[in-house]
Amino acid sequence: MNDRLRGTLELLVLRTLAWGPRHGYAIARWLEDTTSAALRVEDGSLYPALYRMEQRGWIQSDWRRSELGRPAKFYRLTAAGRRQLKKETTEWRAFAAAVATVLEPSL
Amino acid sequence: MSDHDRYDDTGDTTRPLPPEVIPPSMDRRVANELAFHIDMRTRELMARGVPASEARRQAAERFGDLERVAAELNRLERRTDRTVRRTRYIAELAHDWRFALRMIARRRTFSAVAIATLGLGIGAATAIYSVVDSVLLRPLPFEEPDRVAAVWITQPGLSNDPVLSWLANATPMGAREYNALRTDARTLRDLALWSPASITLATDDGPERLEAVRVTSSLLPALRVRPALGRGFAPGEDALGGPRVALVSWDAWTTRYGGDSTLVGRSLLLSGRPYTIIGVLPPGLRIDRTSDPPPFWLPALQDSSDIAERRNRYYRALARLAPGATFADASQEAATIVRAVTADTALSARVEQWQTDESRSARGPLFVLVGAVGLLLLIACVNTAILQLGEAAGRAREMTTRAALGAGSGRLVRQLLVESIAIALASAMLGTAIARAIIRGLVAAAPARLPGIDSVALDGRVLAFTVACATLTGLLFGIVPAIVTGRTGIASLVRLGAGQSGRSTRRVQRLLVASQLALSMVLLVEAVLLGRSLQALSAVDPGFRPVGLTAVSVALPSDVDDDRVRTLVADVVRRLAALPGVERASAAQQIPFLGGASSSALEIDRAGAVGPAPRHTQQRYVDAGYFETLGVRVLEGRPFTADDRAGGEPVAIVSAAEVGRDFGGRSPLGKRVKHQGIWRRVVGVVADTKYRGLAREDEATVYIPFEQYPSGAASFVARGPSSATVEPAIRAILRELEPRATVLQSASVPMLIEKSFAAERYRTVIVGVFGVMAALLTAVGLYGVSARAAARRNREIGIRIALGGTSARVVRLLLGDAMTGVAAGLAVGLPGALLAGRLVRPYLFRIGPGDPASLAAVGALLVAVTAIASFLPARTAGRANPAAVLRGE
Repeated sequence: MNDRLRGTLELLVLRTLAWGPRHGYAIARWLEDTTSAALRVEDGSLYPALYRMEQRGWIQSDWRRSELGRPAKFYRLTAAGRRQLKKETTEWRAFAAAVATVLEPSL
Repeated sequence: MSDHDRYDDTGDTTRPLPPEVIPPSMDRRVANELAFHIDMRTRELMARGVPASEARRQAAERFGDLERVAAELNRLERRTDRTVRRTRYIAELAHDWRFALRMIARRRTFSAVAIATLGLGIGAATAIYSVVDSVLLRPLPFEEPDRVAAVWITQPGLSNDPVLSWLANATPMGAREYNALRTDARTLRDLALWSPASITLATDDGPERLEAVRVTSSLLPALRVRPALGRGFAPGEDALGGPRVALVSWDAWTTRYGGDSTLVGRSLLLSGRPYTIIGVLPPGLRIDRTSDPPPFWLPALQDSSDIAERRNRYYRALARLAPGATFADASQEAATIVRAVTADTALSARVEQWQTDESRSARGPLFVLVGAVGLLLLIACVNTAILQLGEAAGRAREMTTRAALGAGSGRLVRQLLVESIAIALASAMLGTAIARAIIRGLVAAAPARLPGIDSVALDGRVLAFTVACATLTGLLFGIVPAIVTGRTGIASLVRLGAGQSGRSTRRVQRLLVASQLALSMVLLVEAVLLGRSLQALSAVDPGFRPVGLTAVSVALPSDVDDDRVRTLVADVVRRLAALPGVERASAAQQIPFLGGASSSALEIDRAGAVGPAPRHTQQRYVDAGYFETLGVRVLEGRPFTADDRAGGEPVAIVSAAEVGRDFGGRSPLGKRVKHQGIWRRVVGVVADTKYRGLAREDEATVYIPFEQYPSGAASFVARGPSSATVEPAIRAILRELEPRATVLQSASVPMLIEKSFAAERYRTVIVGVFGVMAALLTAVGLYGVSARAAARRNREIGIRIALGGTSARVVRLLLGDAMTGVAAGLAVGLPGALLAGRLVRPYLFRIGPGDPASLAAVGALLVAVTAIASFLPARTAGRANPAAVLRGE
């Protein structure tokens, strides 16, 4: 996974968690559904990203009961994560707009 | 039962789980998280119709290299900052605590009983500790208090002498030994003498009797204390013919003289002589913590009797240990010096830490109390453990769920321990309030002799003890249930559905009940032994009839001559006897139990035969009516009469104990005895009377007619009206006959006798109260167990009754169980009680430490308590309606 992809993945995870706490699988499922599997990576690579983000203080985890009753590790956004999401979203938009201008000047 | 149903009652996705269901190790948390992911993926695939094995394969494939990811996550986790981990640990602990508080609040009855039980135990323990702390442990307010030493002469040879045994271990010091030790002892610095003294202070309301203390100039330096105002005694002032100077205590300065700084330099009339006040002592300074701090300090060694009579020893000595010296060194050196200067090889010396010495007599009894309160606390712990174990059975469902969710037994144990400690800390708060009340009682009722009792308080040290005690208590009562629950939680709780508690839980519970009974037995036996010995003590015949007697001691001015004393005393007695309601009145130098006793060597005229050397004998100076007024039986010969006057034939009367000791039990009538250098004819024998304490052996005593040996200290005793009327009457008579005489003390003799065993009563009452508490706690524990047992066997009982069993048989069945427990408890408690009896033996009077009647009484009491505590639930069970029981509720 290259850096850009990793950065993107983190942004998407932050976005996902902006709606509320989720466990890893739910995050993976959401990524699949909303990106129509375009950003498909190996399920396993999601977790190191989550752990790193937790270490940076963007997200926090605790153990809760899953919808089916099993204990699962849930992640949720911290205040720092929320700020990070805002910042990265802005940056991404600027970047995407720049790339778009270059690639499709006719538009 | 679907998964959803099973977990429905324990939580939802919006709340964090209790810590014990989270996998405890990092590896397992990572593995769990990843396994969850793969399981969910598998489910999803299966829901789309993929067969199970294929779904699992695909899920794994989509995940990628599980082991590599797990390894990386573990690596990431390990790298996690330490502070992060610590915060997490604290958060976890905080969670444990919050959860514990929730559980305590939910189980209200159990928590209330447990907190009350432990609060009682902790409160009692705190109160006793606060006394122990202030008497034995807290350092005295001197500089380097552990280097301040009490210095005593000892006379080991006297330890078995009934009259003089009190000198064996602590003989006061005289000027001769003091001077020798001061110049020669290298292990002691600033050796100082002190001695309590009574003085009269001339006030506007007439003479006032005050306590004072005479000290050498080295005393303040020895304590490293400086006067707050003015100066202390200078070397040389504490000598024959030294200046009349005095120091005032801080209290006296502030209360009597309003803190007036011009007091220093002023002259006061003390005992008829002008003294110049040279300084004010710092606040709180006192040498002797067993008595009130004296308002005046005077220089010692100014009396000619200090120097002239070389054998006079009435000073107590203290010193500071020289740097590098030990108490053992100092004892040895002091002994050598004392022997050399007195040429008396029977003497030795003892140098001991000040606080150890002053609390010498208090220590043993205090340890009895410490032991008793320790037992009580232990009983409270066991009791709470029993209750908690019973509670744990009720929590089987909760525990099962947690265990099933993967909580290790360690996690469950930790949660339970946190709960126990939370309960213990709540109990500590209640205990502190209880301790405050108990301390108030302890201090108010304390016999005066306990040093430091007036500074007993709930301070930081004591509170630290309380918290430590509570934490330990929490661990103690929590550990057994925690282990039992932890073990059962994994092994068998899962199997429980019908609400029956585990066999091992019941076994441990029975064990705890038995040990609680055993502990209670030990404490109760101790209480009963002390109680019966107190009863025996108060039933001792003092040898006279105290009821209705009032004693008043009077100090006469020092300048009245013997003839004046004779007429004055006789006049007072005559006037006293003439008062309405007074049956008889007498005078003596000292009255039994009013304090003060003296002895001297008594030589027996053996008509040339060789006998033992003259031995110390108690001496009493009494008037003619004394024996009749007190009701002392004259066994032989006659009492004193009016003819035994000054100038008449010197006569003496001896006590039965003296006849036994010096006359071989044969009649001494007509024999001669030499007392204070005068040969006297023995004219009578009287019954032994107790004089200083009911427990003391009868001492050999010689009575001398007061008329033939008058002294400036006289006491009067009257039989008849209440003490409240006698004292003012004597004051009025004295005002008329000799206004300078002062009343020292006045009390009813029965009250004085009561006071003489106040210390015994004190500790007996305390141990007794602890014993009653122990019995109550035991009853609570038994009741709890029986009620649970009855509830557990509900169904069985229902069937029995349905099949024709009578309720009496059901009651018998349940009682039988309880009685087995009590038998086991008593069997274990018996050796413990015998051991405890051995430990309190020094405080027992006329009762053996293994007294069978006391043991039987306690056994019967505990059986009765058990019977009642188990009968109530059993009766309820026996009355159960079988139909209702069998229907299942």
